[in-house]
Amino acid sequence: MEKELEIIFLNSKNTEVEKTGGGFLNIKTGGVKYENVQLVRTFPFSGEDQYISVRTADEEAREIGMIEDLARDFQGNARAYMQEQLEIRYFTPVIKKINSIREEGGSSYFDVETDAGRSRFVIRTNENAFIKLSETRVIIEDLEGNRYEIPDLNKLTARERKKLDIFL
Amino acid sequence: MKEQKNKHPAGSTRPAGGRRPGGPPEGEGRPGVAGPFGGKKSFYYFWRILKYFKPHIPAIVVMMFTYLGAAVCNMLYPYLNGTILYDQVFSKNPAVIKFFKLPGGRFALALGLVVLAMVVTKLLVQFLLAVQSYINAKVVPHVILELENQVFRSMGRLSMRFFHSNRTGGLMTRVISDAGQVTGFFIDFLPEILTQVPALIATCIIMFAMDWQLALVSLCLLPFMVLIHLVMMTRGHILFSRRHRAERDITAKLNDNITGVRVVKSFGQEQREVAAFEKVNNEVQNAEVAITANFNKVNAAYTFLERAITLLVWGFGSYLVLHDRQISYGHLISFASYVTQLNPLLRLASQASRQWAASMNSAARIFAIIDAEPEIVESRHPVSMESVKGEIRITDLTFGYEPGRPVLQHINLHVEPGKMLGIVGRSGAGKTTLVNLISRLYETDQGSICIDGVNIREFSFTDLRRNVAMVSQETYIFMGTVAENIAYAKPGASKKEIIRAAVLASAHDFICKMPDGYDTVIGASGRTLSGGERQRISIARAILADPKILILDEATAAVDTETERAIQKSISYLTKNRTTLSIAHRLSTLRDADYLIVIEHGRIEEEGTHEELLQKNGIFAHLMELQTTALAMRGLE
Repeated sequence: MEKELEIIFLNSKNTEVEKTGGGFLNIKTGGVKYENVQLVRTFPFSGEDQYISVRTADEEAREIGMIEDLARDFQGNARAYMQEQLEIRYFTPVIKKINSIREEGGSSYFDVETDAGRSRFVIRTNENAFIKLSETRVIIEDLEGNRYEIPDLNKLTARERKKLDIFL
Repeated sequence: MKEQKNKHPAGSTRPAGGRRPGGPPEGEGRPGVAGPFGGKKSFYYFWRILKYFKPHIPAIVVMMFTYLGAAVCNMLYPYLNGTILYDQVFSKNPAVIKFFKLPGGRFALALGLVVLAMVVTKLLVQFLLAVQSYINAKVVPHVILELENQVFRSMGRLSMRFFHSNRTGGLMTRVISDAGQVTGFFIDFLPEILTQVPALIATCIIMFAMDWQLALVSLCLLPFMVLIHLVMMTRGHILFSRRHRAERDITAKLNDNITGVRVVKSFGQEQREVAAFEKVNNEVQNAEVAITANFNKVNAAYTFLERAITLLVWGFGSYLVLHDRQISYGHLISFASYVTQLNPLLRLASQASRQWAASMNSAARIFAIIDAEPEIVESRHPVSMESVKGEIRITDLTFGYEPGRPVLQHINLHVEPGKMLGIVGRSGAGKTTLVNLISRLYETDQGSICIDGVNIREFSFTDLRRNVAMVSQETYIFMGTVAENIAYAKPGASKKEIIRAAVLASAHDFICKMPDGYDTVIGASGRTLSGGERQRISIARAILADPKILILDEATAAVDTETERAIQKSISYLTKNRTTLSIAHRLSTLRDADYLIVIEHGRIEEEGTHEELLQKNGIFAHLMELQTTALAMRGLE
């Protein structure tokens, strides 16, 4: 099989991980050092810490290798550094309360309370800004690509559900 | 072969050789499929639909009791209102006081008791109606669900030919609206009819017992009602068919416009499409108006006859009261109340027959699908071959989509296990037909196709599908995540297997660049993929299916040359150690083929290795020369 069609699995035995002063990650594997690598969750909803793709920082974003199971394959600081990187990359505030949703000119203006504080964002009303992960779990992606999660629609009040109905 | 006897099913383009056993004719609800009372066919559908209500018998029995209770209460009310209130209480008949065991002269109390009994009767009717509505809401959705599921299951069982010969809009309408329409008569009218018929008979008996002359007067116009009903219902059935066709067209139009929006916009045909949509939409409206107009005529005629009956009864009754003193005024009021009660019962018959026409019309279409026999059926004793070597032998194969017009003729072919066969030919030569026959999507007319020496007709469907997979230019992405789409042929695949298949299909990188990776929702309501991306997902799907026989039908035709080169690497991996049949217009992609055949007008005109065919200087060499020249002009070769 050609080399590029192989999957290289990274773990603490074949990979060294270090955090840079600027908060980025460098890794060394197969005798090659890669700086400021990107960590990509290949299954961000159905397996957050499984099959994480480690990619180069350049535009090509070439895959260096995959981490099959972060909790199993890395320990200590290496795992903590990577967890931190993933949390920054996949930062998704959880919506606790919907204050208001105002529709104007094809856009919907959300005013919500999240676990990271109050937030206001805009989505296009008729575009698929809502990603339904299950019957009750929803991700909302705003015009700037920021994401907000509603983990359980059933926990919203009837009034909040009514406001969301048009998007669901 | 046994299967050949049943190979021209109804619903296919071929002559069905008669109706399906016990099934309705394929008629799309055309007039004549089922008459107004449809003759035997409508009653046949009626009995079949009744079976769907079998699991709900207890609920339906309760429902019928509520109808019966309501009917008894409704019959009791005129008696309380007329005979008891007017003739007994108001006339201060001492028998009433005695009946209620009241102290002498307490007529006010008797009046109160009668009024209370009247109020309780009315309240009881309302309560029973509420129970009916509740049971209705519980039973109907279940029956509709079961009918919809069965239609959908039946569609999945049917062969490709059925889908080619039926319009998408019509099929969608059958699943979406016909199932609901069918149940209308059974839930809204049948229980009421079953309980109201005895009520009707009881009312008639009471009327005759009260006064046979008045009773005859009140029923004298009944034959006219039956006549009106029969005439208008025939037309009603035709109109319901018309509405179905209009609804089918509107569904098809919507489907066309939504899936083909790019073409509509790129050619600036929005206005034309709006006009076309309005036209079909108007037809739905016209059909609906015609149905309503038809039944309004029935209603108008019924109302006229009802009023005429009431006038006749009051006229003749008044004559009896004033002149002969044969009956009392209270007696006449009671009788007139029974006549008034008779009217809704007759009107119910009118409404029920409208719903009957609509339900049986829909039932005809639904059972046309449920009863349709698939062209291709599994052998009664299928050969189980979980894994095959992949040897294919085709002997004297002839096939045509229509009788007397063969697309393939006398094809003989042998492909050794693990080898790659290239299939070359002009458009319409029969290349895709050949590979569809190997997948048993269609049945051969003559000759045989064997895999590892076993006729594919003897294979179990599961084993055949497991061992033969196809990657075609028509890649289809289902609504779901990327992972679900890749694992379509292997639903239980692990994440690791899915990723491995995607890597081998050169799809992993673009998937990782999507914000949600393998969890990204794609398909009808999800993220849009490019032609190359779709093709790579479909290759990943085939890699994960891991078939012993792989069919590549113009697998790279829908992508540009650069993408094709990128995909080719994955295809090379995919074809390794597998029997591969590859159809390609770009002959350069067939360089790795061990053997090539050239199909022309349904026959194999040339065969041999790449070099042998070039040396022959025939069709293949000519096509090769044309393509090399064309590509050289574009600077690609």
